[in-house]
Amino acid sequence: MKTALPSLLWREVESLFFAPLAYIVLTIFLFLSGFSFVKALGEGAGEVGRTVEIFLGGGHWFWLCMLLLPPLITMRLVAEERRSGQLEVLLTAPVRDGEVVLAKFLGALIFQCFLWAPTLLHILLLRNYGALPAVGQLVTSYVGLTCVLALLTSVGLVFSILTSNQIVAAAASTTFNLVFFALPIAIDEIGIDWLVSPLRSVSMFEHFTSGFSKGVLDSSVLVFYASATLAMLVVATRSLEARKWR
Amino acid sequence: MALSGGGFGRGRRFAGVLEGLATCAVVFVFVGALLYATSRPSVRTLVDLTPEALYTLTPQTKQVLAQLPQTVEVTAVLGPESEAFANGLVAAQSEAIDYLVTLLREYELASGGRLKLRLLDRFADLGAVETMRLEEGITRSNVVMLKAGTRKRHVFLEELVTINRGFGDAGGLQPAELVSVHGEGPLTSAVLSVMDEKQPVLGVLSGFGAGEITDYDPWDWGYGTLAEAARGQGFEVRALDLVGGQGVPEDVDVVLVAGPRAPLGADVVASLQAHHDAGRGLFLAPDPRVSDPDLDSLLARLGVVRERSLLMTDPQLAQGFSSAQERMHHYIRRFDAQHPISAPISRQGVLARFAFCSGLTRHSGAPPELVLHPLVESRVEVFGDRLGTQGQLGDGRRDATEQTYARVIMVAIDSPTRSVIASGASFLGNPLLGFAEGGPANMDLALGSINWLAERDAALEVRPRELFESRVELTEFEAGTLTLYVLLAMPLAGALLGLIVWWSRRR
Repeated sequence: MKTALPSLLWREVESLFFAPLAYIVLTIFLFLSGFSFVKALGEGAGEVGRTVEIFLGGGHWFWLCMLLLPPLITMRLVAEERRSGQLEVLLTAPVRDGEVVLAKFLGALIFQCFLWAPTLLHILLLRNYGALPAVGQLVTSYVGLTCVLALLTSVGLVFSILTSNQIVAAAASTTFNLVFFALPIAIDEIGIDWLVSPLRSVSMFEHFTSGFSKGVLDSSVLVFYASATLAMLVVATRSLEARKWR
Repeated sequence: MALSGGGFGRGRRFAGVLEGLATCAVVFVFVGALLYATSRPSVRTLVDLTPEALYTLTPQTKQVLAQLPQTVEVTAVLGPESEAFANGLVAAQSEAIDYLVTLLREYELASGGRLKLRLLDRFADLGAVETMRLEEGITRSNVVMLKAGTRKRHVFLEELVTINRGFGDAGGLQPAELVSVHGEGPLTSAVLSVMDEKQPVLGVLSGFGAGEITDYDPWDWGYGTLAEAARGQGFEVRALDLVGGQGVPEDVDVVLVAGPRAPLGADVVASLQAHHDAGRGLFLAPDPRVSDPDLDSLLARLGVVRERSLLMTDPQLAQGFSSAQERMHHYIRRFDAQHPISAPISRQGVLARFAFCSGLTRHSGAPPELVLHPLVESRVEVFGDRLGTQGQLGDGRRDATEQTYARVIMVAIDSPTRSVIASGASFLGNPLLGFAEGGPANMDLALGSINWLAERDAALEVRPRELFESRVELTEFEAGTLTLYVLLAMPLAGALLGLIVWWSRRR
């Protein structure tokens, strides 16, 4: 059977990239990331490696964007289509639910990578002033960025499928992200010994500060993001299929 | 029909929900199992893309770790200074700690699980750190403790990285920075040393009015602090009673003679000589105020003569130190940058503190092939205040015959047998040894000497990785241009792109 994924993906990309809202988000995001970069440059005291470390993984602004952006992008993916009635049309078409979910996931991920791509220009701009950013550190930082975006996008997609209200989807997704981000840090601070180690192994912040931002890739961390994203996509597919039983 | 159809619908819905839940459960169990499996050290790998390959272990280390005959427990107690130094010391220490943590994880992975790593935060894990202090004799933080069976070894952060703390410049506080990292050599050596079957023994000569190894009073000139730290390094520390002619036991690797207040006598000196002739380490730190012809003859055989005076800062050159007592204390920042004992201290830019010491010179009869390594040198503003015939203190003033110049106050001799000679023992005593990081480097000097004498210096030479930190210094104009670009030009470009897309779609 011929797959409908390319056409579904194009449909998603088109809806994301050709909507005026996308460019409003892009403009605001670029301003915030620019502000974050200037701040990181100050905190890094001119050290390029340290600046990259703060800008991509160590700073507040980075995590604010990481935790808030995916829910804002994914909230409308299914919820909006459900509200407008287009979802029923899509689901009665000869396409698999998994393809619909994958297309929406990939579309949202591509769009977010498009948003983050200009941040690389910020760093490369430093070359004009004689600085030499470490290629390895940049590679691992952006690999980490993509991993986290993929996971949070899949989470946002699940919440968008579960509810027909975009605001509820965004709020639920953001809450999930914040808890998922803050819980390992909080448990570490409180010092609940038996929970610290397992939660540290799934801590996004820990993954960045001790690996991605330093130029180190850990196979178990990559497996975590790949498998957790896959799991959320399976949940999203089953949630979409569950509509048929209602 | 309607009833049965409705019942069938509910049944299908229920089955569908159950199937969905079961699928989700299976998926999450699968993810959990996969995570558990891939986090096992035997399958986990790190890809090191840092320019200096900071975390890539040498084949020798990998071989050592792959062939560990027993489990090695590694506990690291880490945390930067609590005080926010204006020169960026905390940031440099944090960077060093991050490096060490990642390196230790790489050790854990390379060992295939035979090396068990436990990380403790010196502030967050206070209870566990206190337990470590009581049970394992940890005397300070920023330390890695390796333990295998009954054998243990402490490795300090200062041995693993070079942080220029910025304290060593007489001109004032300088910016602190992490200069280089060289953790692999000391860590692998420590792993090897806890695998040794024989525990090294440090014998400390007792009697003769010297301080005892059981004296922990921080205000007394005892050596309890030193003994505890040496135990932390895996040594068995023993008080040695050599009066009566019994020789040094053969299982003693290093003998320390620290600050005897009475002459040792010919028999004791003969025992020390025999120990040294047998190829074992000797650490001599006599009190300069005590005249001891037998000990002086032993020193002469080793190739060293001690000055019969007490070093004092010249009152004409002393800045702010007025009393003779104060001028007998010396803050040392001149260390041999090449010798294994003093090189780590030299790189750190820290101070050592000595008191009641004299100068050491080469004996005129020393064979030309004998090499004396001057580990520690005083400042040039010191003179030797001549002692009385009974060891009475001088007048504290420099007369015409008392010269002002830098004195060597500690030397190392490595051939034919290793020995270390210091011109005073006060730097080993409880009051000056100091535990806290940021304190004097006396502990590093003491432990470095003992380890070197026991031939426990790095069994593995690994090139230190100099950190190349690309820096950018922006002028005000450049900083303004950069800010304009990232805060204004790029967002505007995004908005413009949106306008173009909107315009093209509208048409």
